[in-house]
Amino acid sequence: MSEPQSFIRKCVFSLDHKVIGIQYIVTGFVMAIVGGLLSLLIRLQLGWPTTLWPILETLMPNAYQSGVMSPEFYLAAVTMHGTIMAFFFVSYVLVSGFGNYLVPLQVGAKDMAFPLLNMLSYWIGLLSAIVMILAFFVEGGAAAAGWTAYPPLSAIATAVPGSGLGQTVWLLSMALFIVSFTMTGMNVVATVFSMRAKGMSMMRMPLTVWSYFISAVMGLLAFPPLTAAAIMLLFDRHGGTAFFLPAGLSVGGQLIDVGGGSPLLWQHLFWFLGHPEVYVLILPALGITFDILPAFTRKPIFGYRISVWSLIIAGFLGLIVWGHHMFVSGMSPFTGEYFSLATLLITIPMAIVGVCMLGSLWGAQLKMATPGLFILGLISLFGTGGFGGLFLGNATADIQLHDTYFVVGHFHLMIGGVTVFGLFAAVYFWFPKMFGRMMNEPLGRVHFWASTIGYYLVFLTQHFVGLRGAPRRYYSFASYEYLEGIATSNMFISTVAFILGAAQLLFLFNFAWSAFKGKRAEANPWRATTLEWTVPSPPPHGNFAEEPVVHRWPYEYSPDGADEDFAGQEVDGSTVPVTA
Amino acid sequence: MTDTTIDQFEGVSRADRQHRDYQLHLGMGMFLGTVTMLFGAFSSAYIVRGATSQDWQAVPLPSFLWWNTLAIIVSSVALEVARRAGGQDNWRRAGMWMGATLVLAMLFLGGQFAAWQWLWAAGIGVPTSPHASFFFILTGVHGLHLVAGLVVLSVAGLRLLSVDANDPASAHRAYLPMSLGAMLWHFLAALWVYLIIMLTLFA
Repeated sequence: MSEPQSFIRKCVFSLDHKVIGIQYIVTGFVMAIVGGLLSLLIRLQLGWPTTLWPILETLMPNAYQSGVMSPEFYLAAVTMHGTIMAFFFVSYVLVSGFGNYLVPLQVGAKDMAFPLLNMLSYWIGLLSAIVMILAFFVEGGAAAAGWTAYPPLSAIATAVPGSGLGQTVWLLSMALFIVSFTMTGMNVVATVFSMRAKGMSMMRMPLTVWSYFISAVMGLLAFPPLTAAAIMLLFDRHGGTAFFLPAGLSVGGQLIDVGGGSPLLWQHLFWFLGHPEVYVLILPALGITFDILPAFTRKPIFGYRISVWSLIIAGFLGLIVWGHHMFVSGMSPFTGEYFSLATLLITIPMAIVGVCMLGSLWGAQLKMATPGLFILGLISLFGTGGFGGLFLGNATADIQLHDTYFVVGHFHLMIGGVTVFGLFAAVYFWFPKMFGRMMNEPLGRVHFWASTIGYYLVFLTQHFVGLRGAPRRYYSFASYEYLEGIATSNMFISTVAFILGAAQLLFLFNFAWSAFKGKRAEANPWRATTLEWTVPSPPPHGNFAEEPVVHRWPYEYSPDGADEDFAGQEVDGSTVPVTA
Repeated sequence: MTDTTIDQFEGVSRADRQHRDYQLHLGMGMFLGTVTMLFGAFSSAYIVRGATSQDWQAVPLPSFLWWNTLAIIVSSVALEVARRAGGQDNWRRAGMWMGATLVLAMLFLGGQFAAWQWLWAAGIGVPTSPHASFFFILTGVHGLHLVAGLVVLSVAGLRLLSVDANDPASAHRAYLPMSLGAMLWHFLAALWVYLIIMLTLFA
């Protein structure tokens, strides 16, 4: 495989999985800045609902008429924050970005199975992100029906300003996103099936690769149905059909003359994507945990095989529990009971994974650096967030808690916390491999502590606000007497949110600065065992000078008879005995 | 050792080429998996929409749809004959049957469009009734996939014209899109049989 020489083929329209991975990661962080700023605007409104912001009026005259955020813009901000963070930040950085970067390197391949498809995936993904951002600038502003786009709000153009062109743009962007994500998923599965190095049996794959593999299979199965739903919703909006529009619907005093459809049908189709999406995002974070952790505990992980099977089972169960998002939709209690039971079943594999993480820590002499710290943070959030899930998975409790800030707090600890801590850990850990330079350690530690404390203060507090009955998606709580007590909590949450946001600037600065000025990294700075650490940092085009041969599992830390306290997967049994 | 190098052409060994072919078929298989899920979602929507509403009205569908169905089934069979002939290095036979496949495929696509026109002439459009909406959308989305299949098969057809029996590279170039196209086309033919049964017998 010859390396392209021109800048355009090497860094822009590149077929190299490492370049595409980094492109995804950078795109994802740019989108995170947009999504993050939106969340700060949301918090500004909720923390100080009566304060005037003339400066924001100057910046965004439509959204801040006479210095106050308009309720319509609030809805659009909430919708776009959720959409961008889930689909264009975490998906791009953690799944498409690190998935692309790590899977071929860790299985010992020179690239993905379909490099051209891979490049296409990124450019369609970038287009999808740009289209999503453009929604802010169309008439009526961005989509405002929530990241779940429930009809009829999303189906009738006159429902709210964001239901106009903004919603159409949202649907088109999502369709592009699904196409792009499907391409990446096919690549990951094909690479794992057909590109593994000699000796790399499935049961010798790092858990990172396993988790990307499971996540890709889930994406391939769960995402196409939303394409079908999006096509039908577009026809409801522009073709005069009534798939999702119920009969007898009146909007603004006007009876809508089409009807007979089922808004619940959309909810089922959406959550058939929406729930697996959570697992598509969180499984890689869990897989990465098992590969970063032993570099800092210097001992083999606990329970490799049972973790593999637990991730597979959790992935499978994740495909059949979407209804637990719809307990209050009026579904039959029997159906609700099924979805409750299936959901609570997931606690078994997930608890096993959690126990294996703790078992991997047991008795270790921790020598911590930033990636390891973020992994500890991840494990902690996984536990705390998981406890909240026990309440929500139970239909009886969920009926009380549904659509309150309890839910908001819960999913920000899990899909917004575990995944984000996982991707931060991944950045700090693989940054030397990507750029040949180390990230700054003291800055990383400050970033970790500010993030961890910030996350807990913001999102744990939101659990309690939710227990007091504060509903999500409300623009202001000022007119509800029973919620007067949460004003202080909201101000507190907002203040911490701004500190949390500021802490992320440290990370962005550290990332940009270290890429050019960081300390030079050696090939294997963490003394880790997987194959990517056997090649130079950054790895050359084609990754491996000669095809690697794998002799052992990826967790051979502190083995008997080795000079060092680890043996890479490429070390053969003659020097260090093979344990698995 | 000679086994893997004897068929080396264009600098690629037989083993590498077979591996690449395997990857491409795997990719096609996954793509068909996503199409299955796509139409699975449409099907469940069809069932739910039909069961939960009062406004469902079955619209009449032209009877020549069954001729269309016959056309796509026969095209699928013809393609399989062509593919097997190609596998036995009988390129003339493969080319003939591929020609038949392409004619029948276009007949089917034309027939589907004729069905739309038949409905439009009868005053039935996408929004007329949920059944009509589903008919138009399902045939439309299925048709888009057929167009993709037709492109692949046309590439195979063109390459079949220039197969040189003494040049294994040219044979492989023709056989690969035929084999991948066959996977796609058989799938789409079976999908159509499923769709027409759903749209007529469960209207």
